Amino acid sequence: MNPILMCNNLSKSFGHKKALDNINLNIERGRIVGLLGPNGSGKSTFIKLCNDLLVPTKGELEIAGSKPGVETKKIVSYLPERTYLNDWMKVSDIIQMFGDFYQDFNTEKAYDMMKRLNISPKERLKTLSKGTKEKVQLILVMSREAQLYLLDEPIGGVDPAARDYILDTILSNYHENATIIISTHLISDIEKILDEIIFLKDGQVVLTKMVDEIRSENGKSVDALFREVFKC
Amino acid sequence: MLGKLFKYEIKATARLFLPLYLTIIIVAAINMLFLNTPDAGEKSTFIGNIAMGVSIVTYVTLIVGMLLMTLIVLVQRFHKNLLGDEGYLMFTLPVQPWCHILSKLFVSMLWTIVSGIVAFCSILLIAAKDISWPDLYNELSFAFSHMEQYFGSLGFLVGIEAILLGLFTLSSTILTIYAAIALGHLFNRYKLLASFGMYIALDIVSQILMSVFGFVFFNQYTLRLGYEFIPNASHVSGFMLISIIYTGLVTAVYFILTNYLLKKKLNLE
Repeated sequence: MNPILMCNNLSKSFGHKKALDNINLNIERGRIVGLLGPNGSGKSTFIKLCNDLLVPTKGELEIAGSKPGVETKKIVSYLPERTYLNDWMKVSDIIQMFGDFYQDFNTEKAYDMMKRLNISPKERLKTLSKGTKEKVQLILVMSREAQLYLLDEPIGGVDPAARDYILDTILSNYHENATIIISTHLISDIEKILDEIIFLKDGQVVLTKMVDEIRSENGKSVDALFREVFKC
Repeated sequence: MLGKLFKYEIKATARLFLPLYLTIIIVAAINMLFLNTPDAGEKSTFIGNIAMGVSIVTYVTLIVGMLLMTLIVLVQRFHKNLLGDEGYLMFTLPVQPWCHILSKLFVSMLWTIVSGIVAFCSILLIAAKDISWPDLYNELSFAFSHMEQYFGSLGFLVGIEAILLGLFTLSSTILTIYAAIALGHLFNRYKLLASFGMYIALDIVSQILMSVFGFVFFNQYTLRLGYEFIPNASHVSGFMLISIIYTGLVTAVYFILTNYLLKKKLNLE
């Protein structure tokens, strides 16, 4: 099978500012990948390019062999860092909407997860707290049986207690052949679930490595390596 | 997929419009009752007068409110649902950007037309008792027979043209607003202000184009025939046809521009 994500000389500039500069990556299926880097290193820009929310300035990007577009949106499940829930639907309405638009959406699974987190389907999205909104979004995203999950800062806004639950949710809800890319700077929290890491710095890839290799070759944790690479 | 977008667009807006329509019809009915109280003129009491005044003012406010709301919802659904945070969901649905524009455009046109019909019906309701229906029927059939005389066999064509012209005028106006918002969004700051400026700019461009267009197509007629020119049915039909082509072109150009901006220049915050 072809790699789930492939990019060649991918660059994105905003005016004169280069947000991404000649990125070359091949990401295989069945991996959990950490996209790690300090703020402003281009993590979100990369994820937005993968979701067709931005158009590359230069270079190529393919997901499962096609350029970002309608076909890739069918197989990519995306959790943005923003809350995209509108203010007029109920939880049950947005579950229905996901079921309407995404063929790979598992409605039963979504209701099940909402129940376990004590989120009532009758609740209005407007009245939910910020943390609950993030949970609802994560449930919607993980209830899809997608081939690629792109999670932008999935644990940024929730308390440490909820982080473990969220990571469990992520781990227990994806197929073996699916790939998950998680962008974050909270490395120690997610280190234990990662197979592979990509370090981004000033829009460039400075390191891609399997986590096992880092441990055996460098004798360090990802967190320690990160601190070394990005030392100020 | 387009059908599903329509469904959700209507759901998102109906919850605002339907209650307002209902309120307008109810207030219009109350006005009708006040106006038709048999001895309203002679035995009117102070309180009765105040109640009547209040109901008239309420009615007028509601009608003005409905006009404003149609415009605000049209702007908000595009600006907030596509270019705000909700855009992160809308633009990652497996749907082409043009489907989003089309669903928003059609639903906005629908509510504009329905708002017009509701306003018209509410006026009819208020005046219901003063209208003599047989007279109205006679007047209307009189008007129609005159039009038939004037337009002859072109009557049907002119009717269709009038409807098309109305629809294209509406679609070109709405798409000018969409294009202006999408252009304004290219700015880093003061996006809303920029959108407003862009609307004025696009409007000026449209005015200039319309003058040129009008000059090229219509002035030959009037210059050739002089001031005594009285248009006949085929002139009217031709005039409408050219207007349809013009508004159709404006619609197409702004649709393509908006689609290009959403597809290639999208940059959600």
